[in-house]
Amino acid sequence: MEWAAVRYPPSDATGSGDMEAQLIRRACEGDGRAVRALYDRYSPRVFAVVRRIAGDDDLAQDYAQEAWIRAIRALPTFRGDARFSTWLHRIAVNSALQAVRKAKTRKTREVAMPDEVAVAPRMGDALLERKLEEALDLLPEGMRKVLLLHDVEGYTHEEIGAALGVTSGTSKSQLFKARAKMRRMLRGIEPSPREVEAWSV
Amino acid sequence: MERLKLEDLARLVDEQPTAKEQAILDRDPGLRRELEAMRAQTRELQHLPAILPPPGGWHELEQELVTTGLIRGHAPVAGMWRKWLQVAAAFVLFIGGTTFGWVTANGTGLGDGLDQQASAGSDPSGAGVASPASLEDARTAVEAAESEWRRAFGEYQQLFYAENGQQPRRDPVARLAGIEALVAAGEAAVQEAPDDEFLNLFYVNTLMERQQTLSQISLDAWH
Repeated sequence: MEWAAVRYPPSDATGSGDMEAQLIRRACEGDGRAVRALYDRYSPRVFAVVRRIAGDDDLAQDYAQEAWIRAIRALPTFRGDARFSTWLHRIAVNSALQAVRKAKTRKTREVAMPDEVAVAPRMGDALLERKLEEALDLLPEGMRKVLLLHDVEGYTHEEIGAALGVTSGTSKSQLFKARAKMRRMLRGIEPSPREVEAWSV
Repeated sequence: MERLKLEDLARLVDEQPTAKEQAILDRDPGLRRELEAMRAQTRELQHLPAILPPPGGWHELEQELVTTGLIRGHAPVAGMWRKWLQVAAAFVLFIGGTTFGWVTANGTGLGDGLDQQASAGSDPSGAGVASPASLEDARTAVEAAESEWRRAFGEYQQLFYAENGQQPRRDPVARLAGIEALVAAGEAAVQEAPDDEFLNLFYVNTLMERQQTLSQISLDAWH
């Protein structure tokens, strides 16, 4: 599956203002066009966080859809205390985490990776970003969730503990293990499962 | 000799080293490089880009939202939007018909029919729409006709708002909502006639216009 990475202005660039408030109000009233406009604006961010938590494209699509349904359902409770993007992001994270928890008999994840990650030119290191995404997908689920929430999404250990139902100490411990494992994978010390599979063929 | 494990270095990305750890780091440049690499890795993770969802995601979501009653299904276009859609459709048909006529005339020698079609559509005087001698002439004539249509449309807008006692709306969000109606109409039209070149062009143009309007809204919020 081909997927594309996109860069957006900081969340406050698109997450506030009268225009967005109008869209939200219309979306609350069931206006599909307003919901579509919100979806067009925020779906890359929602999909990114959900995709990384899921570690799988197909699951990510389901989780993203569930996250949007939850968000639209909860839209009347949005009071504007936080930015809409932040509010939506939290819903996406919680929804994806809950979905992962529900998948008790989750089959062993395949490690197939997207063929290509297109990053906007002159911004960031596309190769490094791709390697990071690959390494993220290969982390054990518990480590990946903690690393994502802390290092990618900026959650505190207390917030992670609350979201995952673990202590902040466990969150820290998992984070340090995850960073170390990532580092080993990135510098090629620890062969990825894909490589092991290739050698065994 | 005491060493620091990678997990220890991972901790030192966030925390200050103890005196003992600092002493080990001071003695070992390799460990210091490794710590710096770990910090760089963490910084990079903070800036991972967003990811475009797969195409078709919206349509699946829309169906689910309609089914669950969270949004209304496509309602018939009514009221003022119907008028604007009629005008937009007239524009597409006019430009499309004119272009088709000229292309046909160039290809088959049906110049007389073309003259009638073009002059009837754009300029009662017939000026500027004489039989084109080349494709370039035809393109120029189409552009002139389009320009004339835009001018006429501007006048129509003014008269429309004057008669209805309204002011033109410049709100980009309102514009976006209008474009969404056109997108929905275009989408429905393309579904009815998927091979129709002009309906496809109209649909693509409205999608592009929607993207531009979204970008404009984002830029407005940015500044």
